[in-house]
Amino acid sequence: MAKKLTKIITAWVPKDSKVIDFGCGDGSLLKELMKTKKILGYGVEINNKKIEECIAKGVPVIKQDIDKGLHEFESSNFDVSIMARSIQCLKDPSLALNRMLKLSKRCVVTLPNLGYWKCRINLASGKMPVTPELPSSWYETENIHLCTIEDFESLCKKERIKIKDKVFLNSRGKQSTLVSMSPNLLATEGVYLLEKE
Amino acid sequence: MDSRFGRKFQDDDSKVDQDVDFEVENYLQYKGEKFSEVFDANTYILMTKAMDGYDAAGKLNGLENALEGVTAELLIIGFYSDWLYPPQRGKEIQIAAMNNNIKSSYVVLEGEHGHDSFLFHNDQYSEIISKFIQS
Repeated sequence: MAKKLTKIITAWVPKDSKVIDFGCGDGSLLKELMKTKKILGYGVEINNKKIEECIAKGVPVIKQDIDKGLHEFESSNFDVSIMARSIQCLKDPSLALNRMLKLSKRCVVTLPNLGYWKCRINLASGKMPVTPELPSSWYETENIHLCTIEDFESLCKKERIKIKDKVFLNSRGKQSTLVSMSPNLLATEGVYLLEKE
Repeated sequence: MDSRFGRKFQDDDSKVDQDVDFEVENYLQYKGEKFSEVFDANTYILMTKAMDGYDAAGKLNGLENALEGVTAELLIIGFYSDWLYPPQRGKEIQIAAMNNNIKSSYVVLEGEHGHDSFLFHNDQYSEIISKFIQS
């Protein structure tokens, strides 16, 4: 799944652009973008071990809780901001989206889809969903704002955020016509390219 | 400060001076006496003033201008317990570096020794510096 996500995001990032990746993890995505698109990239991460991994890879990184202080980066004129699989962990996803679009023209967001049919079966049987994309139990998960594909798109509409492009992935991390026809039910992950209207 | 001293009283047997009540007072008294043996007091006052008055931006009208033309990659490290150069100042340098498109990283670490933390060994501190140099 990570490889496919990297491929989709790479296609949306212009060459030689300035990119910030919120919740960058070990810096793999930025490293790939630095290699293939010659970007100037910065990661934002809170976990010290992951920060060390970024530094070892030569990926510039900033230690920061992404729930706080996104606005501090507004003066840096980024071309693209990325938030891969992190938005559902934030206290205020709507504010974060708007702030990302203030600090860059384009914004890439990926999120797990709670509307995926296996999640619905879990919920219908009275249990919180545990799937390969949402592997943690309710008492361990960092996901505090899970949503469905439809929920996310409604938020974009409400906040006047333009969905410039989108890709839906199935449980094997692949695109298919079937998933594109009914993403809210069949996609495990949504990948969005956003712009401010 | 709280974890190291708090409002703990100094026990009578290890007081450096009978007028001392608190542990923090005892520590400062002890350090002060040690310093006065190896350091000229007036020089120390002057150095303290120089440190307090240090401004990375200098007369260059802001940090951004001060960093213009830097071609090196930067690693900015701060310690949560540092009151002299608190982490937020490091963040300001990081943002000024980003505004100048300089490859730079900013890390804040735990450290029990306040501003002196950068002088003490800390596994994570060593690890980050060595990985930065090797990368």
